[in-house]
Amino acid sequence: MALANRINVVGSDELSRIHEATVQVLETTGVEFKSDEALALFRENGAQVDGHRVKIPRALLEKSLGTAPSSITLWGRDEKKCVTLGEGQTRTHVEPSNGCVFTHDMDRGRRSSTLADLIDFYKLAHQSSVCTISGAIPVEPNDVPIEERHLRIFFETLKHTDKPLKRNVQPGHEIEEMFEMYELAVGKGYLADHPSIYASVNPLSPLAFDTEPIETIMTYARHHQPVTVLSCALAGISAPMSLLGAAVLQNSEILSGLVLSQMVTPGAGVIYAPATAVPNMMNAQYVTGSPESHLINIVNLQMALELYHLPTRTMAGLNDAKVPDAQAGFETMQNLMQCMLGGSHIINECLGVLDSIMTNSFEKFIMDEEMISRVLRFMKGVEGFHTDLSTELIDAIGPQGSFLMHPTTMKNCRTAWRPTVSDWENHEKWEKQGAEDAMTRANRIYKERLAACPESTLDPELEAELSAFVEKRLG
Amino acid sequence: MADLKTITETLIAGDDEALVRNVQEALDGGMKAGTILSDALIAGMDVVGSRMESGEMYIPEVLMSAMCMGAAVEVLKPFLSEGDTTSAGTVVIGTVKGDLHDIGKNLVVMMMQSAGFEVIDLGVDVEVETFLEAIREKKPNIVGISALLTTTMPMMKSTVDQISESGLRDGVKIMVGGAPVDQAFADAIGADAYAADAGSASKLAKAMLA
Ligand code: B1M
Repeated sequence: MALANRINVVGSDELSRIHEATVQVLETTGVEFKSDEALALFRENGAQVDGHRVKIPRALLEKSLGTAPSSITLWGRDEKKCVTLGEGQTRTHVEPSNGCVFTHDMDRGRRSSTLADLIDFYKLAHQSSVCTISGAIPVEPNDVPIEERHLRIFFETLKHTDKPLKRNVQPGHEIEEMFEMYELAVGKGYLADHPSIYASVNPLSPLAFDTEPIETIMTYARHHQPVTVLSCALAGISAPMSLLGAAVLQNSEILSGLVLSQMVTPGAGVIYAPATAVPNMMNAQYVTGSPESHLINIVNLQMALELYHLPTRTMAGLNDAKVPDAQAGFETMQNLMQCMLGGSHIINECLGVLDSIMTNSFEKFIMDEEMISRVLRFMKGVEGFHTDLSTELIDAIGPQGSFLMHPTTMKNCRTAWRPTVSDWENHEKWEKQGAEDAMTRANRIYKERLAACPESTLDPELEAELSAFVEKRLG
Repeated sequence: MADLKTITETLIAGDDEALVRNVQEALDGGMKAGTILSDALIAGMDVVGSRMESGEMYIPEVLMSAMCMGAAVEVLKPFLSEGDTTSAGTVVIGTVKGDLHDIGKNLVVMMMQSAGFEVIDLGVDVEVETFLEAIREKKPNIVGISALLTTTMPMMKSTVDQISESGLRDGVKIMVGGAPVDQAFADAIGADAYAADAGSASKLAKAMLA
């Protein structure tokens, strides 16, 4: 990052106190793992196991932190789209929204999402220059039978993008099936030395892991694919109300997931994903727009960046607005700035999301792209030509002169950042051009983008092969 | 001797030690257990309920008062006569099979308890058979089903269906809830009630049995 500083919430000595508190939680309170296979592995590696409760000793934690990589290369089907996650990364990577139940747009309002909506979100993500990782499930395809969803969704993912991929928790056999399908596209054996897909896995806060998330961590590690362990605790409900207390709990959960992954395959990628929220304590509802939430998560980012040297990820574009209104804008921008300037390597839930992750909006996708692009530009800071203090030039132009046509201006005037959806015209011209507000422009832009998007990123033969694979599996 | 008003105030303040002491003093002073229960405690929880709705009291404070209520009822129990009911009814509740979300369901449980219901919480990822067994055994007035995932909402429907098929439907009211659930879905699967939050869930439960 070219800015001189990241946002830090606490000083460095506080970080070692938080680490020691975490060791204490892991050694004395422990974490529950609902999987015999995981429990056996913990026992073999020197942890104390009592029922489902695992007490992780300092030595095992430190060994695991030692083997978890500080940087991951994540490949796309188009290898030029490969990204570096973690140390050595040059810009924040951006992933689409996930898990939204409703789709919102200006023309049709809020409605139960369908496969057609999901495909449109994949298309927007594929074309987006701010979005560097695709996949996930931006909206739930509620019209697809549940037993068919995992394969149908993955087929559409492969059809509509060749970027590196993000996926969710699944039973082991579904993951194996998905990897097999992926290797139809990239070649058998490819995944073993090309991390290409990571899964986001949630602990069950406080301090527990259910069977399927454990299966996901273990299966991905076996296949040398990364996982991102995402704690989504609610401070005061499933985590302490104290901001640093919540940071300790979340750190303990993420690190215990990391230990599991490293016991399966030392060196498997783990992305550290703090996503704890300060809820609306008046009624205990989950809210995402509080300025306090990222006081917790940035402390955790500091832990990962300064102490553990791990790739990181945060849910950065969240808000509680029901439509893409001013609240959506200011809560989103607040969260983006906090997370991105806090140094998060990947941001997610930041392309279209509304309503505490229940709804995804096409227009907001377009607005979010611009908000992210603004922060990305800011984070590049002052570099290259901009570091010229220009004293000679100032002297040459002198008082009352103009810099407008000076060669340094001529040469660089087109490099300055420009908006993609905001209006920068004067009032008169804006009126002449139809007096559109940002929402109306975003509506127009998303439709133009969809109309210009190719129907498939696969060559026809491969597409037919993948389709046959899906139909065969679904019987 | 602590009067009814002081008892109500300590209940609302969520001070369990003072409340138990005050209730004991009132009993020692000859006040009837039934009067303490209805005129100080239940009346106090009504105030708590309306303050929650208006946002004057926050959820943790409401739950604290409810816990105090429980402690006070324990003190009163030996002195209550048959006519003094402490239970508003019985509720069997759980998060549907395949779903692990329980923060909202737990709140519903706590709010129902504070409204005087006896609640049997079956936890998360609850098999249909477990619901059926609990209905047969506990004979609840209400069965509550929670789901937070669109992928587990169909399981809500099959749970309701199987309650019907097992001949248990007539004896119970069924309430459903959870972020993606709405009134239309509740109607479509044949549930009796849908509640959008824990406060309305306990209010509705009371109304259904009234
Ligand atoms: C009986 O009568 C009634 C009456 C009223 C009832 C009722 C019953 N039940 C609830 N109510 C009502 O009253 C309550 C109190 O006022 C209210 O309850 P709520 O639960 O709504 O409110 C609570 C007080 C606070 N709210 C919450 O606790 C839910 C918040 C969100 C962020 C959420 C959380 C916290 C979690 N999650 Co989950 N999670 C989300 C949620 C997003 C959201 N905006 O809701 C949602 C629901 N999750 C989702 C997903 C995808 C998932 N989650 C998962 C896991 C988790 C955590 C473990 C991290 C955690 C749960 C912790 C726990 N112990 O419950 C996974 C599933 C695990 C499983 N098998 O269940 C996983 C699949 C993620 C993954 N990739 O693994 C999405 C659903 C997608 C879909 N298609 O339906 C989601 C919308 C977020 C998202 N966009 O991704 C009312 O709904």
